Amino acid sequence: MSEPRIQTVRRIAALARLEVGEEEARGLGETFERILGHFQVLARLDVSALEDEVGPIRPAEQRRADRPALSFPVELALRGAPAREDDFYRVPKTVGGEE
Amino acid sequence: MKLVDSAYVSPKTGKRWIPVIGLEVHCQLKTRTKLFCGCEYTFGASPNSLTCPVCTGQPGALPVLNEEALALAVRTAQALGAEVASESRFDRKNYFYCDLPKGYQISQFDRPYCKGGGIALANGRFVRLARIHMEEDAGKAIHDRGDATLVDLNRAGVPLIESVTEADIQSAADAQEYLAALKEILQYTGASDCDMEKGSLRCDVNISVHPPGEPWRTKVEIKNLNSFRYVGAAIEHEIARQVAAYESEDPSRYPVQETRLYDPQRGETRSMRGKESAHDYRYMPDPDLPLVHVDAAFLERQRAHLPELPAARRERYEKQYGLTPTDAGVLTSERAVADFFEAVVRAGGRAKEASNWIQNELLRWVGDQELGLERFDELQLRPSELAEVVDLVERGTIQNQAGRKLLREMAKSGRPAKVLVQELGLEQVQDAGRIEEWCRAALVGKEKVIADVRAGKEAALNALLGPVLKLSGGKANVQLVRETLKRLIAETEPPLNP
Amino acid sequence: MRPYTELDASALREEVAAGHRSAVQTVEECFARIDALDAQLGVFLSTERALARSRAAQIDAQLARGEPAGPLCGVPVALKANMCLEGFEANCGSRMLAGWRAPYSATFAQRLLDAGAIPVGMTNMDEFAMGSSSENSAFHVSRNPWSREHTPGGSSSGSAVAVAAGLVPLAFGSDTGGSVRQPAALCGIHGFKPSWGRVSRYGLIAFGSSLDQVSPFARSTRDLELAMGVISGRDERDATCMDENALQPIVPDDERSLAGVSIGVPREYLPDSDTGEVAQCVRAALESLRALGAELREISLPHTAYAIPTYYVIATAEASSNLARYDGVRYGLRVEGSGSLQSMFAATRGAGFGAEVKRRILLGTYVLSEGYHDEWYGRALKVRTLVARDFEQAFEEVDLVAGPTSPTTAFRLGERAADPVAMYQADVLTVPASLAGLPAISTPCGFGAGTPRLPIGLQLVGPARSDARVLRVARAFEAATAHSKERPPLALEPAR
Repeated sequence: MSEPRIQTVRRIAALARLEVGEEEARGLGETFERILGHFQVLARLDVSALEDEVGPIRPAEQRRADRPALSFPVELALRGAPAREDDFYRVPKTVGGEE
Repeated sequence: MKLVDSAYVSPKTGKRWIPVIGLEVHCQLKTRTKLFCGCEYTFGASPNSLTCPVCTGQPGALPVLNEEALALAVRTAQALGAEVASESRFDRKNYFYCDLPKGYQISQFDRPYCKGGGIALANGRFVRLARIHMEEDAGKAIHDRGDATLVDLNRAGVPLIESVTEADIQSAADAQEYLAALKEILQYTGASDCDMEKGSLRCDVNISVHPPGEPWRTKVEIKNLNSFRYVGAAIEHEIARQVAAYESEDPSRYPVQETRLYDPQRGETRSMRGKESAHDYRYMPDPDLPLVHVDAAFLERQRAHLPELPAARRERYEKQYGLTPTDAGVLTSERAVADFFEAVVRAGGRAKEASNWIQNELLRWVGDQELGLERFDELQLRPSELAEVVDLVERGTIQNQAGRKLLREMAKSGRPAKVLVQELGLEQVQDAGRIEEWCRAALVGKEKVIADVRAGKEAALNALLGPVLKLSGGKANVQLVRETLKRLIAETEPPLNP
Repeated sequence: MRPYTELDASALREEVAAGHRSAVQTVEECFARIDALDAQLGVFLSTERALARSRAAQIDAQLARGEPAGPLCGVPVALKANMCLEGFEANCGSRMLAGWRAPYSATFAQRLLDAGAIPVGMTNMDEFAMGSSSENSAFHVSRNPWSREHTPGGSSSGSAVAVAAGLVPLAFGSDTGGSVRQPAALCGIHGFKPSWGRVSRYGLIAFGSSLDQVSPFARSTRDLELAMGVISGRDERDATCMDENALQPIVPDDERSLAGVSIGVPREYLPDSDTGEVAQCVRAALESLRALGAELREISLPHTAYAIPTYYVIATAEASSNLARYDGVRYGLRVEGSGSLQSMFAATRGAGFGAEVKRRILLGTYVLSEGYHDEWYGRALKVRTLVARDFEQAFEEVDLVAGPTSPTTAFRLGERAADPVAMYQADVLTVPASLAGLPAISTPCGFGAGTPRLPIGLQLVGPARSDARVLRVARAFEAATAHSKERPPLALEPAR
């Protein structure tokens, strides 16, 4: 990892939408670098002939018929919502797009 | 075939610029339930009434692919002459937004289910498809209610296919023609109802311009285009904007890679955000979904569901029924209309006449009822009923005008033609005596017309047909009326001293 | 009537079904045991006594009406707090989901209910199943019943302790990289991770989806079989669930013989140079297997050294995506931030997740991010294939692979908390089977040399889908040895 580690942590934390404090970022940056250092062994293997499969187990494919199932009652859907307005989830005002 | 030159000529400098345009079209598949769960989706349902653990991203919930969505997606690919992958994969596209319940959208990234295919335009250009993939829709964020954004997740998880063209389009007209053809195919295959007002067809445009012979320049994406008209207007505006920017020779004004929104009120595009942050969607294969396998038997089953497509139908109508290209075009523009036409013919109605009746009568009803063509099949008239009317007119049992009246009555009451002909007394009158009576009455005071006819103006006779038919309640045999009028005029004394 | 704590689930079920004890009485005995021990062991995050009592009464009424007794009739069970069961708090050991009650039930949990089991509560865990010691729980630690200074292992810490300390005969954890096998080993009980896809994951709150499996803890292998017979099998809500019927308990006709069974011992798991207490204990266990008729063979799994980094890259990548849904919009914690939507997301997640979860989300986000994706995540997927191929090749020669479950006995609480890299090493012997999706059991095989006495587990790994074979061999080992009969020395607190 050639970039300064705190900066990397800040960039990745922003991407992951994780607020981390100054102290925390420093601590995370340190272990982050150590962990990745240990994981460098992966680079030693030649994997050029391999496919990037999700996992070794290939489950038999299961699909569903286009048959309706019961939906949540609105109250159950919104029961856990930290903030609601009428039958909507309420969030801070945003202009649209994923920013 | 020589391709039409679609270069844009700058109004300021007279220089030629080549637009390079690609379209990304999101289309909602017409399944009963969502892509990965059993919630039904209906447009306009009350907020958050059509959700479940899966589509609200409850902890622990898992997606299971709706087979009908795959079937419709495959049929669309087949109709577009594309290649369906025997194995494809669902990926997660990770980003954060309030209408995205899981924090990722399940989509297909590097192994889409479909590649290739395309649509031929009338000008000879062929718009190639790069790919089509399946994905789930996000929910809806509502921004215009008070000081908060409100989220409705009914739409979250609705199945979409996104088709992406190569940059083979060079003008707004091409883009609109491509979209119309795509829409026609999606509706024909039953894959989508393509109702733009309900958001079931959405279009993004990628566009750049460059001088002839030079390399392509920076492309700009335009979003939020919810009608074909807007697509055309946005492309035209954007071409002009980009050309003007380059011609200003002020590099600070040159187009930058960005997303712009089309504002239909102002008829212009504007930048979506001040600074463009590059997206990093961190795509990864979705471990919750097995690879999607489509074998020969599945393809065959879907192909068997494929209707004859519009272009093939048009050709057949011309050959088999001797219709003009225009008539064939009108009839096939909507699958419901074409299906109706064919059903009339199957029921014994003559093709040419059936075509005329549909175009002159039924399509007008649709217009009057403001139904929209795709709801043609909601008319209260069966194809066999129209076939019967066509036949009655053909055999001379009733007159054209009576036929129109009959059709309306049948649609209104749902009662059989024969009964209505009797009841309404629509049967044609061939009785020479009664026809002469009506003709004499019609001639009264029409000296000018009579003079014209005498002077050899056959056509003037037409002015008398209407009144006679009116007097007869539309029942008089037109041929007899014509002959009777001519005879009466010939018999009348010419006026003295005209 | 035998004491509650001496009965395994199978025996308890027989007594309830035969009318020797009622389900109501059984749950009361369970609660009495919880009252006597939970305060010192930190097993439960929540108990649902009213619900359990009413279910028990319902079962008694059904039996009184002559209705057939389900396979888990009247058996109190505990679930790890990352499992959805309507009405229970599935907080995942996290502030993020504190107080969150699942609005639906996991498929396997519903099957438990249908079989007559009585869920009594949700057990402590490392936050979102990330950890090997219980120290990452946002609420409290759990303690090893053999020594309260020591960890019970993790992340399914509470469920392991619940069984080891006799609070319930059967409990469920989730095993992603060893989260059931390792605590089973450290607590001296049986823990079985099925083949990936054997048990539906619907309703198991995801950590690393391509690795997670619901896995039972028990004091006997027959209870593991009993549990698997109830919870395994095809589920239309999990597309990755095996298209097979439930795993049926084995008819124990020749359970003492392992004649004709060949067992491979990877030199990477048990090098000759290793003379530690765990290695010695496991070698003795292997001799017991040989005495039963099994043939032992040294084999090699050459990519073992790559398993830890491969596992951590893949599991954290999946976790970074799986945990993106905790954004303060639909459920769980919300912290407003500086007013914008995106700052609300960041503030919520910053406050809701603990240090280890954040570290793993960051790691997972990093290995998936542009410019690093191929080098890390893409490469790890491929190395995973190599790890799986090691096993495939081994299973051409042998029926099972055996070795230790954990390189050490339970470590002291606090000992590794500051060192994530050392903590990750605790998984070195369990993650290979996880990466390969294979069935694996940890079964008690003795104790360490020191004081206090701390348990050691023998791990048996089978080929894909050979869950029944793994259980059968473990059962033979259990029957031939006395290790499973050992119980921890516990001082009961006076009843409240």
